[in-house]
Amino acid sequence: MSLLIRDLHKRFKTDDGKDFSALKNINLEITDGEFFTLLGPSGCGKTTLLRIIAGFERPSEGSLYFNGNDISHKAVYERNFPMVFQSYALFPHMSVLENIGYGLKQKGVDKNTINKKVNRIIEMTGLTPNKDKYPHQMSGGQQQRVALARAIVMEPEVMLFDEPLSNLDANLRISMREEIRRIQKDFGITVVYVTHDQEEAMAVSDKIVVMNHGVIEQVGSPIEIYSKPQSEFVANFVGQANILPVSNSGGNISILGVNYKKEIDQNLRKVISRPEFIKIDERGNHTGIITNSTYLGANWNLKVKIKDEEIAILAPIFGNKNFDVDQKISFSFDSNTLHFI
Amino acid sequence: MKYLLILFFLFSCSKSNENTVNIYSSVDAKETAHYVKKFEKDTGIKVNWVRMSTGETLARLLAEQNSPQVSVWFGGTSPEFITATKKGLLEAYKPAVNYELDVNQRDKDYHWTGIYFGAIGFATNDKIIKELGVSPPQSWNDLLRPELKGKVSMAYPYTSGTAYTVVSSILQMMGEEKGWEFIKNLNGQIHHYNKSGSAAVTQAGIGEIAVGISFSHDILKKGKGAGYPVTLSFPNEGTGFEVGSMALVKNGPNNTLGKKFIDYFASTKGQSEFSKYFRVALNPAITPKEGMVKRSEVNLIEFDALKAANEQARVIEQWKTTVTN
Amino acid sequence: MSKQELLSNGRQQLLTKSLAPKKIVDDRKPLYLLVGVIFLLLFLFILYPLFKVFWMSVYDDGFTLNNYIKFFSSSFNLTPLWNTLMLASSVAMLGTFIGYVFAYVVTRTRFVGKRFVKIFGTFPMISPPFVISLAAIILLGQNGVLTRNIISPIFGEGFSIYGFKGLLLVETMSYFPTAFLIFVGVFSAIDPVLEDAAHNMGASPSKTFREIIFPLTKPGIYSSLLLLFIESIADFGNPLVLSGGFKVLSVEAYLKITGEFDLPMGATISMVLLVPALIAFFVQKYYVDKKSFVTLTGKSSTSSFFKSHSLLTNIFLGSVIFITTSMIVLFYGAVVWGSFVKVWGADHSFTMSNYFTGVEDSWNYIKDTFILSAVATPLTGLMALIISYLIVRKKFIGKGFMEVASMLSFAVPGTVVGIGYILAFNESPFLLTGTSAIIIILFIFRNMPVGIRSSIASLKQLDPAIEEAAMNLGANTVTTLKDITAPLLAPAFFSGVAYSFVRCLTAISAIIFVVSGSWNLLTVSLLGQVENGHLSIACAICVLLILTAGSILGIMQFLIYRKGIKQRD
Repeated sequence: MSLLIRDLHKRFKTDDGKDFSALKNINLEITDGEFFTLLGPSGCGKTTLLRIIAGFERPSEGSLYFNGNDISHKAVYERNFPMVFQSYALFPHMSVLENIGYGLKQKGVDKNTINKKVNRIIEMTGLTPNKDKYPHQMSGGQQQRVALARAIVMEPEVMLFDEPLSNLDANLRISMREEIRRIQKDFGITVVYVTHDQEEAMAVSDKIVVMNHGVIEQVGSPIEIYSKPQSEFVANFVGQANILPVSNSGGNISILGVNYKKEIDQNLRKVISRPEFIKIDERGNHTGIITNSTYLGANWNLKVKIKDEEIAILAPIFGNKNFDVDQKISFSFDSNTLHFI
Repeated sequence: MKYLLILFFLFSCSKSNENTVNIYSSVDAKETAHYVKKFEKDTGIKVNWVRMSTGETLARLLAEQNSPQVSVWFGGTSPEFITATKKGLLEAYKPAVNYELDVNQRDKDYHWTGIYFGAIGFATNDKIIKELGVSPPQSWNDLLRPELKGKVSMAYPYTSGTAYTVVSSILQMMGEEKGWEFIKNLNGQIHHYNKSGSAAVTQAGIGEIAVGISFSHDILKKGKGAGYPVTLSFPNEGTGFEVGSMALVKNGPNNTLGKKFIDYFASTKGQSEFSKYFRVALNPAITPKEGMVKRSEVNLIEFDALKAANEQARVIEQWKTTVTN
Repeated sequence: MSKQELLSNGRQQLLTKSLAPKKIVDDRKPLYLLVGVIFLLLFLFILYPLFKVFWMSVYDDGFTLNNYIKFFSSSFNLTPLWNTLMLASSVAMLGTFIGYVFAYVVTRTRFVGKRFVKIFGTFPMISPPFVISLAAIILLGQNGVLTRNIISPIFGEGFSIYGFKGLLLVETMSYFPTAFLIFVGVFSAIDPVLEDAAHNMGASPSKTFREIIFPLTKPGIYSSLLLLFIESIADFGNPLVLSGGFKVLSVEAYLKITGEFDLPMGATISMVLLVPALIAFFVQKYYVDKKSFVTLTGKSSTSSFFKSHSLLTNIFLGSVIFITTSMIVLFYGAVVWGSFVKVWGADHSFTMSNYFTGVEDSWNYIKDTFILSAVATPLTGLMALIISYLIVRKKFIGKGFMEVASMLSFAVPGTVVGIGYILAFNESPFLLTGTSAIIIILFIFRNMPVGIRSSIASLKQLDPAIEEAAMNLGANTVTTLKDITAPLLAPAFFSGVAYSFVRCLTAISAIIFVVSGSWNLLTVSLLGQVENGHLSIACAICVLLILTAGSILGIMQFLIYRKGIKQRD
């Protein structure tokens, strides 16, 4: 057990004097060596939670334990949870070497050791040619590496990331996240990672917490979050989802007027189906009209109107088959992939 | 933007017109305002004026030599008028009046004309002097009493006609050697020098210092006249004096009206206004009012204004070396 | 223009003439015209007067250095030089320190009453220059209220406010707001996330300050030191009233000219005064500014701006603030008190008459001051806007020169400018003395740098794409400036305008040389009132001036605030 968050609340006073609850009753357990991601839209409280873990903010209620000790009231600079900031927060008046060595210097590590450790990290992160440069002389990607190196060099037990990749372009973002994941695994570091990008979260995490309006919607592995979302919010936020009403009476369920054989709990009223799990099939038991059709190279992205619902379908490219608007189309759900809530 | 430019030119051009005369005045602003109002009322001529101390006015006239901005220089001590005459800044004009002034009260060709008289005196703050345990100074040497160290004030002789008159009077009265010795000792008593001659009176009035050296009319006006506990006294062994003057500026913008201004303040009507501010008019038709200093009551030295003017540059230089060392 | 550029330009002209509407060709013409006019104005009203001063100091029937030899060989002249430099350095250090603390408290702490700290940090800017000196005499003069009742009984006789100590006090109070504003800018530009990062890496608050914040503010500190140095060197009003025997150059130059009619020597002293000011200006501009690390990263992450501090730090910050603000309250309070007593120093019974007499005596000055300021102010704003637009957005030969020349008058002490103006504009072809134009022009070119500075700052924040969009839709340089840039810059523009209006109301150093019979100014008459001992009346006029200036700024801020809200809606 590494980090434990118990009954945590955070309230702010807004400018007009009203109370605003940023976090409500948060309970989490983050185990050793885990890549733990806080995911949610902006304003959901994920950054506040990260800042509480780092010690920048104090919880209004509740506690934070690290290896069994209550650290809720420990000062930031006594925690050793190095953080990679969204804006990198490199010290503009220090060179790369100085930036990376700064934390060790604060710990009172001797100069030789600092040099050794810093140089090793610089080599590892490919920053050797830039080590005497100042932040403003480097590209965003290089600055990002420095920020990363500056945190790793501390050999932390817990490392914090606050949307570290959001200022990078798409390709760099992918290679950097792979690198972060590799380093985390190599060093066995516990990571708490904040992002609003669900794809990024899926790609790197061991465990994801989806947050909304200051509460936890769901905690789980990426697979659990994607295939078994526990709420409409999670389903919509992580990937694309068709959420349809289900009539559920006496063991018989019906979706869009078609009966399916499935044993589900009595009070489940909705079904979630991912667009890529819907099969286009001339003998399919649902028929609708295409209202929108987009060619994506690997797939067709279709919108199909059926009854009062509009359903998204991701159809693989199959030969020269085209999908045109107003065309009639038949499809069926794969009952194994349906998830009821 | 066009409107702004139009506005700009409008304001740049207006305000100067046929019936207006521009003057520099070396008497107090409030006093000037009073005289100007009287003149405007009696003649219908409009006056634009700036108040500057005597030295400032001379410097300004010198700077504006190539295009004079005013027609008249009104008030201020005569040595500066003598200098201005020598530099060719003034135009000879004999005011149209029915009396003749003594030669030491005017330029021989009437480049400048005397209008009032004032003697150098001491302004003493009654309260402060009592605290110091001495009595108001009755002679120049009284200023050197140890009790008055740092409690005496006057102006820089190179910015103020008043102060130059003081220095010049001392030198003419005591002779060069003794005079400079005295000035050096006096310098040790001075708190600090001012820009304007009459400022010493106010300083004495508010108690910043005990004794200020200035002209008697300024002492009366800004001392008791302003409500301050200030007594006027004169040095027994003799004191210098000024002939307050006025002059027509050479090539001034509207000298026809300038002459009218000079005529007016040479006349009995114009000069009778002076008594309101304790200035002793030179027009013989005017008798000094009660409470004013008459020439006969003060022991005046033979003050040679021409000599004072001629040696001004040298005296100032020597004064600077004397007070610096 | 290179040959190639000429060719391509020509080609483009041929093409556009035949094909496109001639709008595109016209675009450059107004630009060049504008640049030409601006250059002409800068030469005439900034450089030419300075040249005249220089010329006066070295020309006497042929080139000569006699005046300089005379200056540097007389201890009567050298003492003021050392005095000036010593005073300016001390004011720069003390003022920078206080401004730094004020700005730190406003931007980085949770002090109660921060709003008042902000007001006090800028308040002395809106008052006439020598008011504080006047107050210093009321309170701490030989017969001052504090001297008599507190200082003399406790510390004994011999205290004097005149000279170095007094000037250090009043100039620091007058000029620390400049430092305060600089540091508010500097601190706001330092992303607080850097402090978070330092804490996060194990640095305690005091270490974070020493190792992160302080080094990052160093360029700001140098700027502030240099600018305060310049302001103190240029100060004229305070030394005139309070220097006593402690002579400084600005006053000496003035006395040389007005007292001894020695224009060449006055010009020489002016040049001596100008050199340290210019050195400070260029060091600031080309060395310090370039070294600045502080850059806005654009998107700043969420961070708590306000850090908590140790008790000791809080006590330290609090006492600096407390001492400074109570000085300000005390000094300005003394002026208010002085304005309500009958005969100040002798009869302290209450009266309102100073206000009536003051307004009655100075009515013409008040009228002239407001008319001239009202004409000069919009023109100042317009010039500043055009120049900053050209500097930030356009490319043309001599751009760097335009920037330096237009900012130069900030560094040149007012006394020097004033002397330059009487020398330059007293004879044809540029005969201007005695007109209102010379005062208006002086106002414009003296106050322009402040406006240019703020306009450049806000222009740099304005996305050029917005203007490109306008040009793309067919607007030329002038119409773009008029329709797009100007409205967007309006808040910065109007606060600059309001500030320059206030500076018009309170200016003295340069203006004292160019006032004339037809046009006169309130500050000049105020100085006369002080000199001639109508102190209570002077206090009353000061109070009125401060109230006017304060309410103008207040109203302007309110309007900008409302406009800002409207724009956001």
